[in-house]
Amino acid sequence: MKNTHILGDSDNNRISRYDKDLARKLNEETEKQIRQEEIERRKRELEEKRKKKIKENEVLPSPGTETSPITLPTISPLSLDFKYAFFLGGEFGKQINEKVQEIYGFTESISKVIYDDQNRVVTGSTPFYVTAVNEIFQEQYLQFRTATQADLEKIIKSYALDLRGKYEDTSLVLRKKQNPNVYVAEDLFDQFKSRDLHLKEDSAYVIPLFTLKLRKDDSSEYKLSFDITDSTIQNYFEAPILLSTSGGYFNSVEMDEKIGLPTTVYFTEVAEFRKLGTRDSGLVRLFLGRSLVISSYDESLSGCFNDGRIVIVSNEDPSKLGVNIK
Amino acid sequence: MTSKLTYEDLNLPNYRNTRNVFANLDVSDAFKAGVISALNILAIGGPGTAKTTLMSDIHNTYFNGNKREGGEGVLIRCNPEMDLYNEIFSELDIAKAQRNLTDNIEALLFRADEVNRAPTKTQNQLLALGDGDMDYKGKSIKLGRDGYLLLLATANMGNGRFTGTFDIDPAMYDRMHIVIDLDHYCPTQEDHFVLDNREANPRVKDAPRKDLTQKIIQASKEIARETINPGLEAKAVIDYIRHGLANCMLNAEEGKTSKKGREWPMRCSDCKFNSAKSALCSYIMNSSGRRVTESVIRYAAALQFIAKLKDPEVKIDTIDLMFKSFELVGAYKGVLNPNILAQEYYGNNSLLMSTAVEKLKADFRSNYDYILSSFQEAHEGRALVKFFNHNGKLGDYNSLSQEAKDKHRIMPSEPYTDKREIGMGWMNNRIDYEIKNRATANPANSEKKK
Repeated sequence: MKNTHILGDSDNNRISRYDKDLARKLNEETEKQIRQEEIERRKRELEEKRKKKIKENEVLPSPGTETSPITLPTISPLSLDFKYAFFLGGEFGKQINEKVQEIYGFTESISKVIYDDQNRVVTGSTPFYVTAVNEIFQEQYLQFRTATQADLEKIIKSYALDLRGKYEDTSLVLRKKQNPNVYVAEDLFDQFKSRDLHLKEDSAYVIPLFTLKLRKDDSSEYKLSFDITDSTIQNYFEAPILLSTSGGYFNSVEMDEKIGLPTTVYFTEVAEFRKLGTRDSGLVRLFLGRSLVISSYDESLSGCFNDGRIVIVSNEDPSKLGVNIK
Repeated sequence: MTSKLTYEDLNLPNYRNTRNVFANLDVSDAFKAGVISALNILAIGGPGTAKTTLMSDIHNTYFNGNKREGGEGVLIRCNPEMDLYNEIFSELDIAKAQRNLTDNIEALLFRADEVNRAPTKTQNQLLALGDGDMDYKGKSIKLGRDGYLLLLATANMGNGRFTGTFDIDPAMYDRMHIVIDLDHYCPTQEDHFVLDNREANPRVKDAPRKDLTQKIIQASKEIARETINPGLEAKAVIDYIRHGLANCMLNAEEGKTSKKGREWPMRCSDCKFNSAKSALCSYIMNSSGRRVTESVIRYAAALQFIAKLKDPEVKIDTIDLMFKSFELVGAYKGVLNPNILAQEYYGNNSLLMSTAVEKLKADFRSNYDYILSSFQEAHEGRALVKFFNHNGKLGDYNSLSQEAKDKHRIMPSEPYTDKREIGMGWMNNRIDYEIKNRATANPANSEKKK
């Protein structure tokens, strides 16, 4: 404290009990406590609802933070269950990779994904590659498909696979006819339109990769484009939560299990909450990140790193199908 | 160039009284502080309390003796027939058949011995000395020199009342800025042991002459400069004395002014706020006018000056300093309840004042954190008047969210109220003034949040 008196000695000062920041600290502490209590309350609420078996079209309550009612598609293949989940690898993975490279290896979006002989696993991932893998499955391995975002959340919850330190592409997120990836975005909007589905141009739609096909396209910077299918029409959904401001936090227990996305986003960091990356335009990939971040932010559809993995799910035991995945 | 005053310069050759008054200061130092601050001093006490010895030491050792003998002092032996104008300030010019002013008007020290030997009407002549201003042929003549003038006076007092002939005119008390009771502040036993080793002589001992006037004037000016801005703490104590002591809860409840009036302290004994007969507001009131508070500030600066001269390393607590100054300045200023003074303290103003001041200080300290933090916030343009207490710390109640208030069940503390014995409502006006004053000095920084 500066010398506020001339008569008397400032060194002989008593320490005032007044803390200028006390109110602010107490306010922050209270806010945190209230949030924590609210989280606990919603946890209990959700638990009770699960026990009562919530109806499919029920809209979850809005706690006043940024959230939105989720509109579920009329046909819900997202209720596809699976019993087995594995990383594309082993002899099986090697073969699948060879076939994908044979067909689409002319583009970096595919060729950067490789089979790691030493670890016997396919390393790297791009939305194009994941789509290509599903194309192969559609021809020969109908029991398999690549995981959706909801599948990954189930895997996290059941510890079926260790997803930390890796990333996995699951879907595309279509928002606006703008960059990033305006060409591919416009093409997808047109495809929906041709099927009499007029998507809003200021929302966010999740298109699971397992429902798409690839098309060679010289006009695309990636030399490839996506084609929607009947399965796409059945499985795509609108996800307004992906329009929230990027960098928010969510609680793993506050998830819509059917779509694998959070129902509520917070903008104060809370311990053990995960992050949600979003943006407000164009076409991007949806993936589960290394620290279990859910990201729909990255611009590049061809970005590929060696900690990427292709997650395969199935209702049938791969070993009983004569498939060597290790 | 005049060298600076040292503590050793102020040594009193004959008078000895090392009874502690405050910090490292004794009774002798308390008088020295009065001298260098140019505050008039009245020393009272029974016969033989060495009042005259003390005054003589100051007269000779500081002011070089009498004006007529080359010094700067004038001795006035008070008596019923004294006529200051004819005896001291003028002399007959036979040739011109008129009286002319003498150079005594330039004396720096007027020493009035045993003022209560003159009737109050005659004592009135001393009022001009106390004011430093004399009326001469319809004109006002400034006494003293270079802004310095000191009136030292003594009065005999025994058995709790003035002995001698007359009482002291209250107006006289007003001019005697400091009154020290040498019966209350008597020498210690050790002082007597030391004095026993000197030549036994019941008469007033003459002190060697020395002229410290320039050094004293210089010190006096330095002290005057320190009083321009004595600091937040000192100002807070002054406001507390000036406004807080004026508070009367009974008057306020009856819808009258909340201040003590002329009826004080007659209603105190039956006042419902004084059922235990120990309410602080019944002991002491404020002094009207500014003379007392200005004397308190100046004397406090002088006490600190002497303390630092004596020991530059000594630490002085501002609150202790200001209240001690008030104790020594205020004891005879009509602020004490005369009924309590007579019945419980047997006329011992100094003792009652000391008791009252200790309680005032404790009350002030209990509010000090609030006062200091409000001043600090006011200097940043914010009015902080409502507090909350959390885990031993104080915070701004108005900055708390409703959720925080509800969750932690926080109730406000509003200390600046007059619904207490010593009023604190003045703080609201003081805060507004400090904010406004800050805004005037720095209009760009002005921001008020209440």
